[in-house]
Amino acid sequence: MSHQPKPYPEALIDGHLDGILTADETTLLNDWIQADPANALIFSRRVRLHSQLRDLAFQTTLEPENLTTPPKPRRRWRRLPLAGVLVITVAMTAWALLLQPASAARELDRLIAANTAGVATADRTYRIRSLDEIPEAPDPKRPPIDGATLRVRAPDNYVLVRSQTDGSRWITGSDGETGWSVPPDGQGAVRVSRDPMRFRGPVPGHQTGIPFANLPADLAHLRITYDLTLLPVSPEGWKGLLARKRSTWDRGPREVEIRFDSRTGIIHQMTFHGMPKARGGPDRVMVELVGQERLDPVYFHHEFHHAANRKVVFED
Amino acid sequence: MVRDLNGTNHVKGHAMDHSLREATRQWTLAVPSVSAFIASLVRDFQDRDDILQETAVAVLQGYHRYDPSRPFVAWAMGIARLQTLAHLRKKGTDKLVFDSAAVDAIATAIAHDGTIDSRLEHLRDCAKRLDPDSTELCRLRYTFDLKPAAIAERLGQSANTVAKALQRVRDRLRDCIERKGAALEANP
Repeated sequence: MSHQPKPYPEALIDGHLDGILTADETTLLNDWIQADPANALIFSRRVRLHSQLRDLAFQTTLEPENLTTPPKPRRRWRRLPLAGVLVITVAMTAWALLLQPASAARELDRLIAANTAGVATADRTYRIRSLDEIPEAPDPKRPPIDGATLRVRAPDNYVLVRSQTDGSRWITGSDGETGWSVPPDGQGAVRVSRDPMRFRGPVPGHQTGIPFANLPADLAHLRITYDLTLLPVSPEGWKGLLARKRSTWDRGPREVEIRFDSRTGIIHQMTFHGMPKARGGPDRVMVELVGQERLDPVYFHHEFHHAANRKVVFED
Repeated sequence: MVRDLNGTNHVKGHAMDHSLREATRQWTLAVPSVSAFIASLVRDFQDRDDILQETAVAVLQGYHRYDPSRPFVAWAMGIARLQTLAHLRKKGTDKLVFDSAAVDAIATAIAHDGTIDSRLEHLRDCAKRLDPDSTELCRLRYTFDLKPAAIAERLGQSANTVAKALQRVRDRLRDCIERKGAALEANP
């Protein structure tokens, strides 16, 4: 028997991916895949292309200007009596209320899936605001988190820019391989560590990993260790989820409120209540998405953020 | 007693943080491979996305059982395989379209294919160069997850014509990605 499907392998593979193969053709493809590791490689690359086309389409769809609806085929609606519609509506509402916790978990699952699809390449820029009534006390060695900018790239690159009262900037970050800290000129050397997490302390929610850099994983952590409640839709039309920490063992914030667009999966705001304050800092912090521009990879290296003649101390 | 308990909890919290951080880091790097593996076993993207999410939770919950001497991607794909079967069972079927030997061959091929990292960037560039008809075809197939028959209904063509057009688009994209990859290797 020849293991070379007709007319050529891609036709069968595409037929499988598009769900149009007959049972016999599926068997033929099955036998061809296991006949030779090279065949399995051809198959896996075609599937990867197919899978990435979906991810790419999803990322493009994330851009608001690209949000369109597909042309709809004509549907034949059967007219229901008004009383029947009302009964169904009331029943569905009661069902939704009864299942609210499950619905909240389901919303988070959808959010995780949506962000998983776009995790590979999406860069994000967040603005951080303290919601405390009393501002943080000025501290030259600890710039305020209020007004800071956080730029992240999955899986673990980030740059946090905090401004001091005199306008000078203290920048910390990670390129995924090292963690680094660039204080303002005249306030010490640039410090670099082989621990990518070394200088993440000021970033809100850092106790559960690099926050926002790896959104699907961070959201999955909420799913596992927090109780979830659906919140009313905001004036902006964003859905809301409130996550309350189940156990004091977890070192994350007491509550996390997420505001997101359910059509696109974009998280617009995350508000942290009851932030851990072992080293000071505000109790309530809001992180708002302000941009999704693609950043140059060198942006996440410390050299990008200081002069070439600056003293650099390697800690380990 | 309270102090002891608090101390113990604190240590566990640190250990959990480190473990979770490492799990999430490895998982994020593995997502393109695991996602492709799941896509090879199920045809609907909604199923792929659901199973991927269920796999993410299972991987994070079961990370303490992961043996670091083994490749993480292979381990994660093993979990994805179980999650796929569980998902299909929930939907009323209990078997994969391919037999076990074929699924093993696919998993091995995906786990050992080292040419994948830059492909999405290449694909992004190549997709921008598609003609308007091909772009629309991709939009209907991938943004709205429509199958050839449903696309054909909207475009007034036969399902076979749409399937062949999709195949040509994928061929063009594959060739474009390979050209870009070869050019990058020649001029790194």
